[in-house]
Amino acid sequence: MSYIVFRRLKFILLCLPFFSQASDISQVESRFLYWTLQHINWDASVGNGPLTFCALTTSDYSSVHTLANYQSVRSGQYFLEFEFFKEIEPLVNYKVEHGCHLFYFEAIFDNMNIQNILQSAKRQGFLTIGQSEKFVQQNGNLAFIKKENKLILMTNAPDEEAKFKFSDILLTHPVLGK
Amino acid sequence: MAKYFNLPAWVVLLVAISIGTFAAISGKSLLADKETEIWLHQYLKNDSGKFVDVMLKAFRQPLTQINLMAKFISVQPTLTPEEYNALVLATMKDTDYQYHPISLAAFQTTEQRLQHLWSYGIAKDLTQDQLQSTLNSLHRAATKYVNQFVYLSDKSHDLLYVAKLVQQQNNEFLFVSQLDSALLETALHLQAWPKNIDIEVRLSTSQENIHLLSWQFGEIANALSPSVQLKGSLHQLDFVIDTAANGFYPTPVSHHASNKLFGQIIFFTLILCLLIALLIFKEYKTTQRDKTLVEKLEQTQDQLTQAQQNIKRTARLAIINDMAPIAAAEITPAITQSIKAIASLEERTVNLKAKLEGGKVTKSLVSNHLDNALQLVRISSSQLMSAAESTYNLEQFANDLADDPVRKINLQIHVNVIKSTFQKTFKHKKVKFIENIPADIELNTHSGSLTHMLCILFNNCIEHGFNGKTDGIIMIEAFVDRKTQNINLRLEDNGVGIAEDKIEQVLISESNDAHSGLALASLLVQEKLAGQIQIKSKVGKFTRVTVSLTSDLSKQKRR
Repeated sequence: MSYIVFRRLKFILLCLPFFSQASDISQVESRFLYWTLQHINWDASVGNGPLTFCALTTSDYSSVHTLANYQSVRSGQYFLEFEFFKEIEPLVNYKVEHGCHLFYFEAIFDNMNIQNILQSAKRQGFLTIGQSEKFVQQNGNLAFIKKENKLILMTNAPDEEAKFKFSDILLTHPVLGK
Repeated sequence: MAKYFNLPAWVVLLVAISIGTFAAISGKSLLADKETEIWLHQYLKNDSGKFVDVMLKAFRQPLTQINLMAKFISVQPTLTPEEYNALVLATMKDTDYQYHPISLAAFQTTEQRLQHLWSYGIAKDLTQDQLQSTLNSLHRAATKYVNQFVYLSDKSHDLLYVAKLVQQQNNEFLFVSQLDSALLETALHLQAWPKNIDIEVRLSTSQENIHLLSWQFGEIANALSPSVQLKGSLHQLDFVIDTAANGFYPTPVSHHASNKLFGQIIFFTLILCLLIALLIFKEYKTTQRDKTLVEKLEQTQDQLTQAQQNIKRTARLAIINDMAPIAAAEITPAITQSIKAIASLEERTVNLKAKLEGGKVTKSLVSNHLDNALQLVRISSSQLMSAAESTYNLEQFANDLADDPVRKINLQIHVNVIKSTFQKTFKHKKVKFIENIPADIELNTHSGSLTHMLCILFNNCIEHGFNGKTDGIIMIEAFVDRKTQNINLRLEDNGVGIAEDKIEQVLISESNDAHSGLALASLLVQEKLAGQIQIKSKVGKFTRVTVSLTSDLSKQKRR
């Protein structure tokens, strides 16, 4: 039932205000990301874990770096291992050679050729995370979008073949923040 | 109703509507207060309690990890960091949800110096030099409260430190967890905060009452809504939670009930107003109907008065009708006798003329003829006088009864004329009249009404007083009251009488069968003759009617 609702809505919005002046946007996003990842349920077909989180970032201070610093981060029932890339090609190579279960793209990469990676991840049923509306429009699964002083979570409906599902709290959560 | 309070109808309606509206508003207000109370205790407190449960679970998690690792390390102080890491991950595996990732550092204290053993997660930062002073502060606090949790906050970096000093045999370990308070706040914000209430959380240490952090979900500082405060503690961590309704959210059922009650009060007020309006309308219609009835009554009264006048007039004319045959019976024999006398005189005169022509007239014959002629003329004259008198009396009575003029009347003559009329009418009854009326008593009054009244009294004596009797006595007397100059006429019979309890009734009621005439006589005396009438009677003995009459009605009217 929840799934149907989700499909009809196409996407849902969650937003989180910035809590303090001291926190910068990447810290807020990392905390939001930490909470969101825990509410994703993975199919048992992904194996025993841990899951590999491949992040394409321009710096070493992204929200995923902060997340990796927490060390014991889980998505659903699986622990995560983080791999960082600053260019698309090494990421593609790593994906081909080792495989990635989760992908993270900073907004700047939306204008580059990440379509093949997104389509490949979609075919394999893996989770893709971005930072812009364009990313969601390109069939990415999750996007943390900064608008004014709020961080908005926009989600896209996963396919039937996807190896993950959003938990009910993500599907039924009211719009957060003010 | 408005009439009873001497108020206009619109004022009563306005007051009723005002009272109804006031009752409705008061009822709604009372219900709203009750709803607030219910909301506070059943919903606000309930939702706040759920939030507190999640918050305590979030805080209990790192404390549990510290206790767990303290046991491991104190038992196995020589494990490698990788083995500790595996141990930590193994403890987390069965946990469904992690509010904060594991962050733990273990130090062994030797002669008050801290020796780093192992660290995991963001607690690894504690090995950095810039956090040395923080670590020392935690060590000092933990040393003061051995085996208890101590807390320290770094608000500028959204960090909260939890430490615990554990002494076992000859070893002393310090365990420290570095918590990202903003991460906890995010989890609580997204997962535990009920959006319909504002929540402010204040944490402090129970040992030193040091304020650690404040979280605010919503705008409770400015809220005017009803609020509840929850207090508690967890391992030397005191918390105070203020919760306030974010706007008012009564339950749909009670909200509906409130509106229903409000609607019902308004409805019944309108019904009440409608009833009052109907009462007023009914009263108005009743007043209108009464007014119409009064008008009809007055009209009927006028008609009745007119009818009474007609009856009186008819009754008077009926007296003429009675008197006319009597007068005619008197006049006809008188004229017949007179005609006979004149005819006899004529015959005698013709015989005398014939004898005179034959030369047979003697002196004695002429003398006899003259004597006879004189006697016949006298007889004829007497009879004609009697007829004329009867005619005059009948005409007088007819005029009196028809026009009822005010004229001078000799009471003795008047009474005698009427008396003689009744004597002739009731020849079959042996009624004896005893009369004592001075000849000089005169009245100036309505002659017709006087005649009518006297006829009623005589008729009442003969018809009703002597009912069932063949004879009786009627005594008539009159005298002048020296003081008032009124004329008192008394008429008494020795008939069957009137029961005492009926005397007053017969003077008033026109419907009394036996004595209906007396009521009319009383009316005539009072209205036309300006007098008074009294009746005294004893059953089987007598009935005495005394009439006091004004002697001169023209003077009375002038006065």
